[in-house]
Amino acid sequence: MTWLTWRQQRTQFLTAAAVLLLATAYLLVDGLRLRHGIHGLPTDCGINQCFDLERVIGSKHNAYLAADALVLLAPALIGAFWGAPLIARELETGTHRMVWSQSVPRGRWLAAKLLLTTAAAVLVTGLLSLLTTWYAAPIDRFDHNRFQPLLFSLRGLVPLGYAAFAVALGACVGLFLRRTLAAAAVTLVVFAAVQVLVPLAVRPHLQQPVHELAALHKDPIRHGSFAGFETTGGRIGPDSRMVAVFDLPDGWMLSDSTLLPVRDATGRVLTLASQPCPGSDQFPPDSACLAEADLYVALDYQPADRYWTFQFAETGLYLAAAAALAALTSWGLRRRLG
Amino acid sequence: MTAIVETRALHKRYGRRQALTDCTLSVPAGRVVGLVGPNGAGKSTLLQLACGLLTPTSGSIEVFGAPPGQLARVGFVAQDTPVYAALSVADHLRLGARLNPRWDAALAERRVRQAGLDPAQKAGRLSGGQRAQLALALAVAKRPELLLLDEPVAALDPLARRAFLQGLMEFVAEAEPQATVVLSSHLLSDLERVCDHLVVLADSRVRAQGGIDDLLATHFRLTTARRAADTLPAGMRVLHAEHTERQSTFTVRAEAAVEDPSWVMEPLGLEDLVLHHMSTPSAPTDLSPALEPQR
Repeated sequence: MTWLTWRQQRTQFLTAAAVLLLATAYLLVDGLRLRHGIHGLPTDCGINQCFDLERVIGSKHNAYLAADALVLLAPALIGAFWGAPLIARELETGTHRMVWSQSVPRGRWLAAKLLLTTAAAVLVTGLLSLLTTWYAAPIDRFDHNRFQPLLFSLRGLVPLGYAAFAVALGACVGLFLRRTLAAAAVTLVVFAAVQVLVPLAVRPHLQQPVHELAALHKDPIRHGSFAGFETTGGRIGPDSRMVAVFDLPDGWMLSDSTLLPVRDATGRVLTLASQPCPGSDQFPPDSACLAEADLYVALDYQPADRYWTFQFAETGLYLAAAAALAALTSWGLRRRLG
Repeated sequence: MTAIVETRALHKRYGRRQALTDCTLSVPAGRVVGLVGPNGAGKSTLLQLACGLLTPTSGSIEVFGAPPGQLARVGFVAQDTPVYAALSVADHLRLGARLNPRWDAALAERRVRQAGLDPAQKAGRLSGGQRAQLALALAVAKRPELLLLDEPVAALDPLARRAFLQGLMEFVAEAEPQATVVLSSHLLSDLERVCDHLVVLADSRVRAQGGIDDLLATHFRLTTARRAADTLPAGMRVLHAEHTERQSTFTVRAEAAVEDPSWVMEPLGLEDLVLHHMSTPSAPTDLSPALEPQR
């Protein structure tokens, strides 16, 4: 069965290997150049102050995006081009009647094809993810945003889970649709929907988020800055809420808006009228005074140190889904065609 | 006589469509069985049930005395002889070698050579006849004790048809252990030359079954002066009666021809016999038991 799986998917596997090889060659060389370029540059400067670093990183923007796109698309394409034809093509061309009447039982046939294809998919995606994670590490370290939903999906372990899931999804859809093209299309659509839904609806709840009233200025690492007042009807009045932006390096802020209402120590939302630092004519507030004032924001977030917990949890979730789909496929193979 | 395939009250339904109804039959060992019936009669369904690709809706089917699934002992050539278009002839033989423990590589290679196939040729570029030969080589080289072929020659031109059947008969002659073959067709003429046993299917039911010699020896056309069917002797079973003003023609089943100056009793040809059973909508249950080979 190993030989047959290899022989039937040789073209796909070799195409993937070629893409992987090209990507590796390019990103290795460019990654080394990037590291050479930023060598010795200060990295702990504040936002908008590391001009040299930003210039080097900015020059790698296109390669960075291309590598990310590769990791983003790989599982989807693998699902459509490796997973979907796995069973659908056999049913479409009638060859299932030939291959299932050899001496290998259908269950073993499915297990071998699914396992080998999944292994190849995980290997390819894993290598891509490893490569991209390594390539982008200096940039990610500078941006401090690896927990940001899209970036989270492109680094570390999770792409492996996506790849396994995509193959199982494709195979399962192919079994029930019996048409390679339709199965590939449906696989792409379903996979994309899952990839959008999970970060929105599932990932935030993998672990209970932290609710916290955090000091706006007191913490040197996680700190915010006053952003202004919310306008109502285009005007600022006494009731306009005071808002701030808050920086949570490598953490994942779960609030909908980037502008958070500023509160006092009791959690009361401050307005233009109640803010503690009236300026000369009430506006703008005195910045020196603000820096000293006891201001807070209510945070709802996943802390940075949960990153790997989340990576493992989400990978596990996708692997479990892949296993469930494989079981469904195996059941359907026995039942639907039986 | 051991039955290789034995079905009892076998039913198969696809959704609302009844593909096989109350099918009870047995395929004796060592025979070459023709499964004849019009398109849609249930031939493919029966064969796929026998090789385990389908499972019955109700009733039972046993192959080698057990439920189907002994894949290594059963060879199957599916309708339209599907092969992998992107794989070469040699790849198919390697596939057979990898997936079958009893694979006979020498036999496979010999068959491919005899059929004039180029091992490097992609299967997708073979002609219908060549593809059928490849599918046959794949099925026989696993050394099956039961070989099932679903309409193997339907799409072939007369020359390819002859070559294919010749290949099949060579397998039957050489097979060790002795093989039982079931092949289906909607045309009796395809099967006549190679079969010694017949199963007639129509409208999802078994209409007749038995050894061809037995069938031929027990079916007659009886022509007499006009008379009623019930005036014929007790040993004759009237399957069909036709009356003109002066003359009656009966299709009868009898143990042997009965000499009588008042009628002409002549053996019914196989073609007529099969056509008769295929076209007679009468309940098959009262026909089939009578047609079973008496030994």
